[in-house]
Amino acid sequence: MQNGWDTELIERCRNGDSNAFRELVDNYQGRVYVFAFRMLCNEEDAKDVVQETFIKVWRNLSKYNTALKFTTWLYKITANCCYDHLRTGKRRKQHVEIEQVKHACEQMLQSNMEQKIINEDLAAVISQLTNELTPKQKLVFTLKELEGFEVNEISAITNLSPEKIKSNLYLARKTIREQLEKM
Amino acid sequence: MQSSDPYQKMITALQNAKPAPADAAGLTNSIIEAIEKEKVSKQKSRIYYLFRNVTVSAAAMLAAVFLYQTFLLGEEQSHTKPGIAINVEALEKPAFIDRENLVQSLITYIIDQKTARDKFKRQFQDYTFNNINQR
Repeated sequence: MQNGWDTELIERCRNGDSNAFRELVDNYQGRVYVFAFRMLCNEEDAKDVVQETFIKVWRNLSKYNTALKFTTWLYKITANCCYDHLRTGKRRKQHVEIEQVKHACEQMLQSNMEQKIINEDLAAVISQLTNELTPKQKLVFTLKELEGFEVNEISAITNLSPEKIKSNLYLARKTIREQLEKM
Repeated sequence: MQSSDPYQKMITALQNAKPAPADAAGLTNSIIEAIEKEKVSKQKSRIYYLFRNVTVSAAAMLAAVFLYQTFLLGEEQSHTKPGIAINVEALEKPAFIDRENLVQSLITYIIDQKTARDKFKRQFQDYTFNNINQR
């Protein structure tokens, strides 16, 4: 269920109102970008996915079922775009220096969380930690651990059964722990 | 409370680190630009679709009228005033089709693009069922 403001905005978008759609993009672009960045570990790829996602949203707003939470539907589209990027290897290759990753990791693990980490370092860390994961494991891990979704929400986003989500998550966690130990 | 588990610490750190696009406004603009372009191309294809239908349907309808009036009506009937829907004197005979009306309806159809397709369909059906099928 959405709040009244969202419903009204979506309705305006459905009627072809570009200004309403701009508002919608402004409101949700950040979340979509963060999710795409965590999935693809590349700024340009994440931007491509943001653009792709919102164009798909615009095209399919008439099919959107308002019984489903808008963010769930939005994440579903974003997840599909990211998943396609991961599966088809459309991603831009990024060279990661192991020293850079170690340094960024140390920086992140320090108790001072106030310190800001730059996108490039963050991408290097996530990329290093998750490069052994399958696209499905990465998707489930990102949604659960980094985006904070519950299993039932992940199920709605990915169309995976709760059992599959749990098994993918288990394997992802195990692999990441091993990666962390190596570092 | 800080966790001592390196995995949990890393997850917390990753959750807190929120990347942001360098040019968020530019990204929004590019999305809006893309959908505006799409809107225009959608309109263009809709107009093309309507006109394509007009052309094909109109050609088919005019051809049908021509054949009907040339071959199916008797000489005498075809010299009488065209456009009478029902031949009052001989109800069992096929009715005439009003060419002027037909052309007019096509013109209206082209001018009024919004409702054109439905209207045209309705008129076409009216002609078919009310006139041609009378016999």
